[in-house]
Amino acid sequence: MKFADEFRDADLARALGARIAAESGDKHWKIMEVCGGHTHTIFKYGIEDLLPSNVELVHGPGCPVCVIPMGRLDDGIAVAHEPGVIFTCFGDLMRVPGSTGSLLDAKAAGADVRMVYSPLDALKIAQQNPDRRVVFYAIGFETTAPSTALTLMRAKAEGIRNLFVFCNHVTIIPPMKAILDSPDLKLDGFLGPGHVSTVVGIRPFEFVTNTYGKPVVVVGFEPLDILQGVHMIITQIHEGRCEVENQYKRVVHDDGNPKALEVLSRVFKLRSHFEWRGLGFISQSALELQDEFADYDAEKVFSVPGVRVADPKACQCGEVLKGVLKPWECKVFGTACTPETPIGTCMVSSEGACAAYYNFGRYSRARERERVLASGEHSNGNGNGHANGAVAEHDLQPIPVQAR
Amino acid sequence: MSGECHDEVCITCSDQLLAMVVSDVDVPARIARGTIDGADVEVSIDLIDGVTAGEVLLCHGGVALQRGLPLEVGA
Ligand code: SF4
Ligand code: SF4
Repeated sequence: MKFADEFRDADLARALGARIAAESGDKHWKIMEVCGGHTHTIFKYGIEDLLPSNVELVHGPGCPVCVIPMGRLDDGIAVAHEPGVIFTCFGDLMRVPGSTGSLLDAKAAGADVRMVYSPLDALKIAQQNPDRRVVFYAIGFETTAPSTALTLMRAKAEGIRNLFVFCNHVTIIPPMKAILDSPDLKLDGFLGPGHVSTVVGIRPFEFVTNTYGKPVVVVGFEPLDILQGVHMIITQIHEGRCEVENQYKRVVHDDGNPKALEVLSRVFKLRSHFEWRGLGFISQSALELQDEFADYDAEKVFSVPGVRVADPKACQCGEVLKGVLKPWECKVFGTACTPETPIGTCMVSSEGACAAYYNFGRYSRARERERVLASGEHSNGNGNGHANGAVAEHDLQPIPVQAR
Repeated sequence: MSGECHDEVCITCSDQLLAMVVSDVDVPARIARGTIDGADVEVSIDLIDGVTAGEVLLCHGGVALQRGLPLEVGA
């Protein structure tokens, strides 16, 4: 038996679901999974179907692709079109729609855009192409940022001067705080992000318990991890406790990885503010390069348009990212917006709530979806009770807003 | 998703850690080589001290971020 199989045992999962049902009483509980990896597992394994109807999982903003605003993507595409540039990024990002196309479109139009698995691959490309400028478009939370930091430290140590980083790294705590401060949403607890916690540890989540009085359980990525995490939250509430607990002890140390944190602070500093798709500007929620690495900062070396672009009117990624709407409640879900023709970012990455729901969840939840749409008990923002898809063409277009 | 995606989940651009069994360590280059689901890979070990062959590393974006239990990959 593979280790993972133990965490996918269907009988154990059903038994845990039954315990959660027995202990959760009648009240409606809303628990947010912060991380996109959890969202993916939840849909893939049908975990919602194992939970009682009064325990609702709300999908949070933890997919790094989903939170990149359109204007930042346009900036990257502009850099990719600069003469002599080799533009590198992770594969998911290539399909994310900017206001006038994606990086894949830019590649088709002649830009040298290459997919890499690691920023260290971008460093190799820079070493192999000393007469070209190689740009790495960095995205991701604290899990991914250490690899960018190490790459920059290596580039500096080895005197490589033709590598540049377009930094979009974000941090997990500020958006959690923004969500907790949002009046739209009342949450009862959080499933904390397992892999981000590998780097940051579990202590940064203490503000959720101390300031907001909501329990947090850092969980792993197998189905039983998530069900056990839900059970631990329900148990905390039941027993009148409110703590940060670590269900994912086999990987996450309470203090995280101190070496990774040290590397992060050497290379990055906090930006004063950063725009998150759907959540707007959040102060101190993203990283930029320290002055010592300014020569490697693509935003300083290249001229970028810096135009803010609002999402198409029909796009409701913001509500989905905040957990206010379920993916299928967006009026273009599965019609104008599909993984093949994404309008919003949540449909692009397989970790995005919309893509995960589209790929795994829409059939199992179809009946509930029909019930909600028929009753109109949930507003999907179009205010006319139309089912998905009743959207004017101009509502599908992005809207340039203002220069940053 | 692209055909290269691991288990339909983003392996590099997302928040995943993948378990690698270390086959050999190049200490001066700060690199460990090994396999992830049968594929040969090379990761930086700058953030983990004292890596040895046979152990399991949890990796993201070409960098080992944590040691894993041997069981993490079914070994
Ligand atoms: S269906 Fe598309 S537009 Fe609607 S929230 Fe999801 S990704 Fe955004
Ligand atoms: S996660 Fe998938 S899409 Fe993203 S870089 Fe890896 S293989 Fe490509």
